[in-house]
Amino acid sequence: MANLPSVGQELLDVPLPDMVAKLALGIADAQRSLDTNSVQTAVALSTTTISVVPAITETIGADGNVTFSQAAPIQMSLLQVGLNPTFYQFSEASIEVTMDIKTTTSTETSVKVGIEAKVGFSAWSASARVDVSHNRKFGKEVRGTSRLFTKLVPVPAPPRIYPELRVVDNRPPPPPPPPPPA
Amino acid sequence: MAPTRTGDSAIARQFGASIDVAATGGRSLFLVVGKGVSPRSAVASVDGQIVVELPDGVRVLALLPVAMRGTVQRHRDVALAGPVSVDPVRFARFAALLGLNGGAEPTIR
Repeated sequence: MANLPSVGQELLDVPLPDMVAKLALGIADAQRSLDTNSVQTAVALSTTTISVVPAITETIGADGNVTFSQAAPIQMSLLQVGLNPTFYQFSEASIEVTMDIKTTTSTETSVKVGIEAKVGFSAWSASARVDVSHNRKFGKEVRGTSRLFTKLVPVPAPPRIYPELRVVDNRPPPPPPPPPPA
Repeated sequence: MAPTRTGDSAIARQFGASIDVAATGGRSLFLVVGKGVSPRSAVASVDGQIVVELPDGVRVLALLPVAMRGTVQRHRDVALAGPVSVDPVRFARFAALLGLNGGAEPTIR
């Protein structure tokens, strides 16, 4: 059994630090890709504009005719409209390693003894033969599975990804409703 | 939702390993920008639903299965598929600007 590492050694040989490092690097790469995608989305949202008519004025004439007039359209980006890029973050990661180690040893010894004697006229001969065979067999079977688990959650966008929106409404207040007819 | 087959590599094939990523979660809102063409077919290929098609014809807001974002992003017609969410405060201001703020006083004057 000197050539076979022990089960404990097999477990110690699991490249856990490498696995953790590669998982961390993989998460970092994935996080960078996600952030890049979200930033590109923010750029697309800020450069995609739609034409918005901010106000429509309905005028009812003295003769009862109704006319509509609209304010000049303004361009608003999708970011201004209220769409934000969604940012994701890896919140949890774990590695699960399962190993199934099976070692077998078998020993087989066989002894064959043969004796032969011959007797003749004034002569005799005898021989003895011993065959010994000794076999040792070592078997080893290792199965391993690893499972990587990561959890991805949406997080709020960076607070300065867009400036604060302040609205100053200088429109005159709407006229009071006409009194009900007497 | 069926797991998405991924992680196909020479090492995985050599060891006969199967690597699957089971992405949970339903649909999410995405901004999908086409490469000069409408991304409508890309959205339809993953059973997505277009919510708004912008006037330029190459940008849509669509509900997509979260697990299929990569598939849409790699589609030949798609330049960008990015997740978006609605900021309720800003959108409420926008709705009020247009007089779409429900039971509140409309801004039509």
